[in-house]
Amino acid sequence: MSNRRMRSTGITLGLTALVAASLTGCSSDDDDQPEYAAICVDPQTEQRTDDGNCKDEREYNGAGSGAGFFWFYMATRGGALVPPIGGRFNGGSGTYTIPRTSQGGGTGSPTIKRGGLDTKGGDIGTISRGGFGKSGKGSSGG
Amino acid sequence: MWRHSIKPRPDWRDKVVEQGLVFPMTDMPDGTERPYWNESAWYEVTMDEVLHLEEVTEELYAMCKHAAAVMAAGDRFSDAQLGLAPGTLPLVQESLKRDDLSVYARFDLVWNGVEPKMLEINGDTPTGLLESAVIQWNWLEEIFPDADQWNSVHDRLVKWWGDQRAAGRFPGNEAHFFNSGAETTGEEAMTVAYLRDTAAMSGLATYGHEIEDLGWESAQRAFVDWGGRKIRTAFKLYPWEDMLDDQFGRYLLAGTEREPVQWIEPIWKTMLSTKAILPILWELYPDHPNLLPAYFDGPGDLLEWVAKPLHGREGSNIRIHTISGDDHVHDGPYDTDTMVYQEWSPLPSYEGNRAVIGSWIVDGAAAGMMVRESDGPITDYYARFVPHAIGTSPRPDDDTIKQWLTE
Repeated sequence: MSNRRMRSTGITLGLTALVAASLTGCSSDDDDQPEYAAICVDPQTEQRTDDGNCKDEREYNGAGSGAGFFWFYMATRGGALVPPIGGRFNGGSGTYTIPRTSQGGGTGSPTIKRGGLDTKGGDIGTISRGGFGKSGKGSSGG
Repeated sequence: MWRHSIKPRPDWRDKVVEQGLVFPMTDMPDGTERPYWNESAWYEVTMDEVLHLEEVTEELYAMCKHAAAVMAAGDRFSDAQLGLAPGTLPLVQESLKRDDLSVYARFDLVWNGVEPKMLEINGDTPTGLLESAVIQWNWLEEIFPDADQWNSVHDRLVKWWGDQRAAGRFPGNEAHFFNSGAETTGEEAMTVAYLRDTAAMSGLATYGHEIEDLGWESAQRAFVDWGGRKIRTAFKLYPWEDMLDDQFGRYLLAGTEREPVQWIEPIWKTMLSTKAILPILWELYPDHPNLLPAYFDGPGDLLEWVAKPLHGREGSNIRIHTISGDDHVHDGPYDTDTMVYQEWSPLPSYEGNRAVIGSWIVDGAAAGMMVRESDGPITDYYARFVPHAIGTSPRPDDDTIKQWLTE
């Protein structure tokens, strides 16, 4: 024995409203994921160091920036190699400049996560995409 | 059940779009458009009718689960016979054995006022969810605030996520949500966004994007989202049979994943999204009052029948054969190598509108209904969604509702 629900006071469907707005012409950013992740590095030694050493968001602009620790930004979609703490990082896999443009073709600032990457580092490996979908048939149950 | 005409709310279109139904109109073949959400009518059902439909829905669902196990056993069908990628059935068996999490399904029933008959089950990618759970409820709130509706879909969805979360079934307390970019009206994106909302209400962290952006990370042997985050639990509105045929399907079939993604719906639902289940049900439960006779190799002794492809959706590629004359054929994109023959049971006509009942299962329980009506004999892409209410039934109070949900 059951029927009907609750919602005597109405419900708020935040995401539903947001997606509805985006699909009907207003824009919305659905930021679940950082587009860039940053490791803390010492440009002098070219080594990765503890996140805690990076106290601010100053950008390293070469030798004139002085000594210290700086964030090094890598695109999370790029499949870059993350070195362990103390390991050398690949300067070609990222940038010292805070990324200003969104990756996914979206508008506005990209999402950035500073720190928090595995201290042991690891091969992010190669991420291949596009292996699901676009079968050309709609998938609705009708 | 009765059909009543009623004046639509003057601003109905803006309202339903705002509530998430971004596809309120259907483009007709002649270039005109017609409301998909049709509130110029409503269907009235009685409480006794609802109770019976609930009972039938739950019984049919138990029968379908039984049929799934029979179909997957391996001695009855090969993968190829079911139109599935090689290696699917063993995975289905394991999935059934584990009793993998499943949240919902939808029956289509033809109901002429006596016993409802099962036309089919959509156990993998049913749609119409947002219209059922949210839009028709809000319509009731506004038009008949004192009336009741057979509709606990929303509550049960939220409760299901919460219950499973409390039981520790979602590693990391998170879930991903994927829709296919191939569908461009927004229908599937909205359905998935709505489900994601119901999950978020239970306190899960949710992520989502189009399934086309999903990645395979070869070093970790893991599926990752577009930000590189490992996917642990994923709801997808994308058919299993296509997933397994896709390029990434090979990782699923070969068991390459280090920690397999928990997919919702689970792979055993392939058995509940193929018309092959119809003849199997008829074999297992011959002459059951809520089934229509159905066969594999031909219409058998059926005088009037419908031939359906194994994986057709939205009425595509269906052939109707009646005594009175020409076969009625509905073109479509699906593979018609294997057809299932089911007795033809015409939909009841309400002033020329042929109504089919969609009956929802959420967490194994009957959860509510939706009515779609068509001009022709087949419920297809051009069908209209019409809200319903329970006549003569005052609203239950909050305590009663809480009690129902726990039953």
